[in-house]
Amino acid sequence: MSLSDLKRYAFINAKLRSRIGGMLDEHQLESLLQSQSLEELFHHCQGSVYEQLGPLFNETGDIERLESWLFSRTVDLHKEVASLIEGSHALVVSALNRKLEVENLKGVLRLWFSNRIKGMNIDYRYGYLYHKHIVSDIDWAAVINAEDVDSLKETLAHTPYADDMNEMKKEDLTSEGMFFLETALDRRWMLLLRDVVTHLPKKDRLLVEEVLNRDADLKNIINLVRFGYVYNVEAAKLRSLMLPGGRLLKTEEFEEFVQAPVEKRSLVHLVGKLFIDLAKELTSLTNPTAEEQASTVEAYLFRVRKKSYQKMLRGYPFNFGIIFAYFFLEERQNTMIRTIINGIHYGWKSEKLREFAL
Amino acid sequence: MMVFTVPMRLLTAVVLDEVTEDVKKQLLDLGVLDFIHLSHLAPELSSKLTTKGEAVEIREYQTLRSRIETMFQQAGELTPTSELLDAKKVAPPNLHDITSFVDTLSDDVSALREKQKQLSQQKIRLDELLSYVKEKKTDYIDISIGKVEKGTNDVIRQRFANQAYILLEPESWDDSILLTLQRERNQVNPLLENLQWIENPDGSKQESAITLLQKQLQHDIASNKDQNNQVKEQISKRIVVELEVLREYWGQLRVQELLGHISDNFSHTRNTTIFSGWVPKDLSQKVEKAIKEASGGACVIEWTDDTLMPREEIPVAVEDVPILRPFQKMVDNYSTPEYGTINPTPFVAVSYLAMYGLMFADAGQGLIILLLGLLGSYFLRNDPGIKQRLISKDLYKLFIYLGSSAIVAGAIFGSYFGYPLIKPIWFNYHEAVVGSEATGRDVYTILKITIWFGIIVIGTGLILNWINLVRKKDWFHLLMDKNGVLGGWLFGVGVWAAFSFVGSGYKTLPEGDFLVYALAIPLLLLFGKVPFKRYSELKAGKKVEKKSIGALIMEGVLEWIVDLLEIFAGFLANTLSFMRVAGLGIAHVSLMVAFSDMAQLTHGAASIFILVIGNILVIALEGLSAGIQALRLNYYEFFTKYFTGRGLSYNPISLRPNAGKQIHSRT
Repeated sequence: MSLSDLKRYAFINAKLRSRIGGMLDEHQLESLLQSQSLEELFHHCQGSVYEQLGPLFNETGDIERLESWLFSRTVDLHKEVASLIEGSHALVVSALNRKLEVENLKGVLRLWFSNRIKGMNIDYRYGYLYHKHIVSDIDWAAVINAEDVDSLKETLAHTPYADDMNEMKKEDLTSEGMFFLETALDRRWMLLLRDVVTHLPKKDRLLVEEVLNRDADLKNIINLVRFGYVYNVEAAKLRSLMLPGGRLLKTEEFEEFVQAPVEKRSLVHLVGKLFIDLAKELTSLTNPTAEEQASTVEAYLFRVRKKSYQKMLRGYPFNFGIIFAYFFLEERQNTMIRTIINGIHYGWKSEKLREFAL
Repeated sequence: MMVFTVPMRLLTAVVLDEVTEDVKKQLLDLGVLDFIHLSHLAPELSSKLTTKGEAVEIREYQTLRSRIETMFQQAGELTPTSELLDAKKVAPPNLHDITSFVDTLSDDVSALREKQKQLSQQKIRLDELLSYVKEKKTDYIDISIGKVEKGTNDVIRQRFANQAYILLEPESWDDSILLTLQRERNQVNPLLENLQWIENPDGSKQESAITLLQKQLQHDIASNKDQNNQVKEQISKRIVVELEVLREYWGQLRVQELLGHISDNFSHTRNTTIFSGWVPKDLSQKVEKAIKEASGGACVIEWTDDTLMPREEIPVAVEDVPILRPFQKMVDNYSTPEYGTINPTPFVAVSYLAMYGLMFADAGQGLIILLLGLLGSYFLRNDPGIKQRLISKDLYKLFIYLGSSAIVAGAIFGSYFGYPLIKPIWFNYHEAVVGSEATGRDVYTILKITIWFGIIVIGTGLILNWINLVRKKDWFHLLMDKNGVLGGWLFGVGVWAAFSFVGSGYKTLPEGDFLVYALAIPLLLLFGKVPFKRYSELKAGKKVEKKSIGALIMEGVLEWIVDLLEIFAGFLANTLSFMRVAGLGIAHVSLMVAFSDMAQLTHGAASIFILVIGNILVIALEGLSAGIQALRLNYYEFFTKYFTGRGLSYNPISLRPNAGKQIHSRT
């Protein structure tokens, strides 16, 4: 353990562990899953970090406001983490926070697309999205009110997303929708993140790169299932959807997969060498649909991430692992709360809630 | 007041099945029995008995009760308390009726919430429009001034219901003003064309239109807020009219839930019910009488004395002394004492207040803390609806004690808001710190006082430990443990030798052979710890691992070395740790002197302002710091001497929420 590691992580490690300790425990989560109405859910949230959901719902009766609050809270918490650390580490945390910015931007762009390209009335929906600063200076109102594709590009001209926006054509948007732009933004996020990660000290860099490579591989597999099978996307386009990094893109199996016609693409063959356990799981599925296969990979990714973050929490405390683990647990808990809120709103029983939330 | 934990007795009772319900209700009303399932006491017997699983029903009761509590919360009402319920008089709940009642109420509330949601969406539209109008973002909005040729403005209102818009018809104007979002032109323009909207070409009206629109938007937002408040009121009213029914249902469910928990601890033969549990000794006659009454005398009751049961299995209750509750919380926060040992609460109260006083010796600032405590208690008493979490009535009570402690210490050391306004009872602490005390006392005097104070606290902890060990008949640890008699003796000799050394001007240890013998004999005895322990265990018939003589000697030597380190280094560190009391006290004086010096650099109001701010800062920072340090010293230096924290807490099933914590020796 170096003194600089201790100095850098001692405070943030204690702070984040205390926050993790304040997260919902199994007993509280069980109470939430048993709730039959939103009011009950908020009653059980009392005394937890989600306590404010109750008063907010009493004030508005609007569950989308609750989702906005959850997002806004996540942004605040992540920004606070970035403020507690310095130098290249702070840059990496900011780059991780950029993921929230990309998600928000995708949300605003989807609304813009519905409004300007599809000619639909988006009404109040923009109001639920985040309007404040996250990482880059984005005038969110300018984006949603951009008159056409060129004005839209102009609003994001001074952001790291300018290149991706400039590659976008109105005709492509009309024919293909937002999907390719969205994946381009995800890739941009990953590239920006990888760029700042190179400035980290060796131990932290290796740890972060390992996590990013694994995530990139599994997310790429998910995309290959979705677009390689369902939409039969051609090889070049399929390649352009891939997140940078990881080991998968360098394998022969990947090349064989993208080159092959849809009916000959084998997912088990693709993952067989890199993820043996996943290959076994996929083999055990009988006549799976592409969605089932993608769900299996998603579940596998979740399990692998959970396991690795738990290991980070139990392991050496003075490295970047604590930040990763905190972000993961925070995101997981927020997703659960969001799922439970929506599930209760749509009248799901607790068994179904449990299936989707956990 | 009992110095030790409350003595308990184990009840085992057999009643006929037909009276089980009455017995359960009696036991619930009494709320003093901490049940133990027979499978725990007599596993071989319990396999021949049956149990009635009520877990599912209990969960249903809990869920419904929780739903009802949610209703109270939405109506801004306090959740009922079960304390006033009488289990014998409460009717059993009809789950179907209650569920249907709660469902109907929930549906009604949900319908009102839908209205609220629409208002929330309307507010988003208004907020967005207002922000653009205020910032004059004319690229984002369209302001049309004109009139419809075909139809009326009402058509616009109808068709734009799901859009962000404002339609104004200013009294003095022939034209109407229509504000819409530019991005919604696709929807707006075709409609305006249909209605043959004629735009007024006079551009001069735009500025006044913006002012009018801003006012209208602000008015609409305020109106939206009013409407939302009305909906909230309707929700509250809808629940309030049902409060009595809800309270009744809540009571039924709560009682049934607790009766279910009691049933979970019952075992049955074909015709009888058997149960067992711990009761405070003083209450055993009362429990016996209640069971006999409920069963009409058709019962068999057997009491087992606590001496016949393993100490670690007996639940621990301490007598509730209301004035000591803040200190009881400190003890609870640490752990539960072992059964039959000393209750640490009164000792913590004394040591905590003494430590606080020594660290925060200022009568004026103490008075402020006392007043804060009194005011807080007053407000909490007058508004029982305030949620008590960290800030609770016990915390305010603690403020009263801490304030009083600081006042007494301030009077002893003559400090009133940092000034010696009244002659000190003992000596002037401030002058001692700055080195101008009349009798020559200085910071070393203060350090010496706190070290003596630490020795007294540690010594008291050791004596309490010996009392506990005698009560537990744990002779081995009483003699050989580092906190036992040998450890205590070495601590005493160490203190004597250290003060003699300091007394000689840090030159010589006490003369004569006494010191050598006083140290050597206990150290030699301590060397016999491992063989003595092994001998005791063998004598007691315990299974002992076989070891060679060499291994035993090695183990003995190693344990001896560890014990020596723990005794000498541990006691030294524990004692010196009390110097923090002096440190905090000195820091307190230094801060007050600093603020006083700063105040002297100015005059009049500025000087008073600096003193006021200084006092506020010192009260907030030093007050908190002294509280934390006093707690730390109690937990780490005092408790570790005698408080093992290995006790099992007493948890009777009761209608009173704190039944396990509030035991009165003569209830």
